[in-house]
Amino acid sequence: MRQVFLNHSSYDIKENESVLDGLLRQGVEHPHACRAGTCQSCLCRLDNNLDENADKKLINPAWQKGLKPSLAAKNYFLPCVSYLEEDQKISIALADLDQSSVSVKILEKFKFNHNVLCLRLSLADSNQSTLEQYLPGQYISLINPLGALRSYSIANIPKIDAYLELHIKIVPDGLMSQFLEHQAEVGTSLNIRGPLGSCHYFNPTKQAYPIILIGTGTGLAPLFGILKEALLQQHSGLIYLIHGGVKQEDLYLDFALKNLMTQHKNFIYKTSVLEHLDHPNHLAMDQLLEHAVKDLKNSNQAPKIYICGPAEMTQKLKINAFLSGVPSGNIESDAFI
Amino acid sequence: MTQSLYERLGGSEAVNAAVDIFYRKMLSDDRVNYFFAGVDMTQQIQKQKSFLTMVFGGPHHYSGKNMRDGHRHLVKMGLNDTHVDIVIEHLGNTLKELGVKDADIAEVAAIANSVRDDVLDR
Repeated sequence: MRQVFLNHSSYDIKENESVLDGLLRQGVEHPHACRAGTCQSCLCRLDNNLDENADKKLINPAWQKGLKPSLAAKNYFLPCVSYLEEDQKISIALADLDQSSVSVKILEKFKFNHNVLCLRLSLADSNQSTLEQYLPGQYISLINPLGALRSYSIANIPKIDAYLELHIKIVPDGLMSQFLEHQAEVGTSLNIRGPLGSCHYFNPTKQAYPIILIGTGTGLAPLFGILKEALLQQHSGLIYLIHGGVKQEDLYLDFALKNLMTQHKNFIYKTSVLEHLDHPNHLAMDQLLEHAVKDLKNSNQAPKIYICGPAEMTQKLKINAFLSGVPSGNIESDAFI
Repeated sequence: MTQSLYERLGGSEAVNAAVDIFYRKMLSDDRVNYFFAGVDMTQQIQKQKSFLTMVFGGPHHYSGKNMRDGHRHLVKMGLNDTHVDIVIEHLGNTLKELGVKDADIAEVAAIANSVRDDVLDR
């Protein structure tokens, strides 16, 4: 019988059922979100009460996908990607914040529009080499004092600003966003895990390929970070940024991006607003993407495309980009769940 | 020294060159593309690379059980011999575009055919 012991209770796990699914099936309210090993919300620790080295042998490396070596060494694992062998029994404990996360404080908090909040966080340990690990476009898991955990993308260049900037979408029943809007204030302490994700600018040999950044709503956050990094590194190829929203107000960095266009000859900013789609000359996101890819067919290098935002739109645009001829290896994405 | 099929085709470089061409054909074909609805493209490309590696005669970790488990939900959706034939057709056309010899294409098709019953769980 496959079993998991947690908080003095035991839970049977079925064959082909992940440890997380088994716990959720039996009513355990274990933190989780993506169920695919990418957000690390479900992070927990194996603790069979043997010594750490003996416990280590019980862990299948596949259960520790994407974990930092320091966490893996302490027998942390992700139950959403963990499957037990026949008759395997493990005892688990919830993640210890001190061991598995880093302390941050709110430095600044303001709103871009009615439902997007800008949060700037300073790290308790803010030496240069720590800040350098947080790359614009990657994401971190933010944990509030009540234990709510949500992932947000890095919208700035932490090593330059000495803080992390997150763009929070405020949702009516959102545990985290309501807390951040109404209870958190400058000086409030939180914890973060990460950074995770491969959506970031990476051009060590200074190639001049064109870049297309495309997303809707707060999908702009990682794209804005990547844009700033590319401009900072004097990227010589063309950079397109396509931002979409339902209403004009959803284009929450419209002014700043129009400004950047006047300052950088190689930066082109295009927008798509659903409520204006019946106006002449207004194009939908997929059309803007197709036009951008077509425009760039003359450049001698295939574009690198970054797609960020709500999962459904991200998946659709990935496929559009791919079918338009962009090589699959040139498409990076971060689908918000 | 005779080269293996996988070596003749060009090994992992051939897989990388083929996967985008092959997967574009699959996604553009309404007879099969609905099986990929809702599937993350990046993850699927990785799976297609593994599939191509296998049918090119390269190293792989697939077992009959993997293939059955992996496709069972598609069989429930109606996956049948016609679809497998279409996949083999697209495979062949992809290799033709890449200039592969007919004899080698036939060998790849034969490997693909050899897992037909596992894929269709029968």
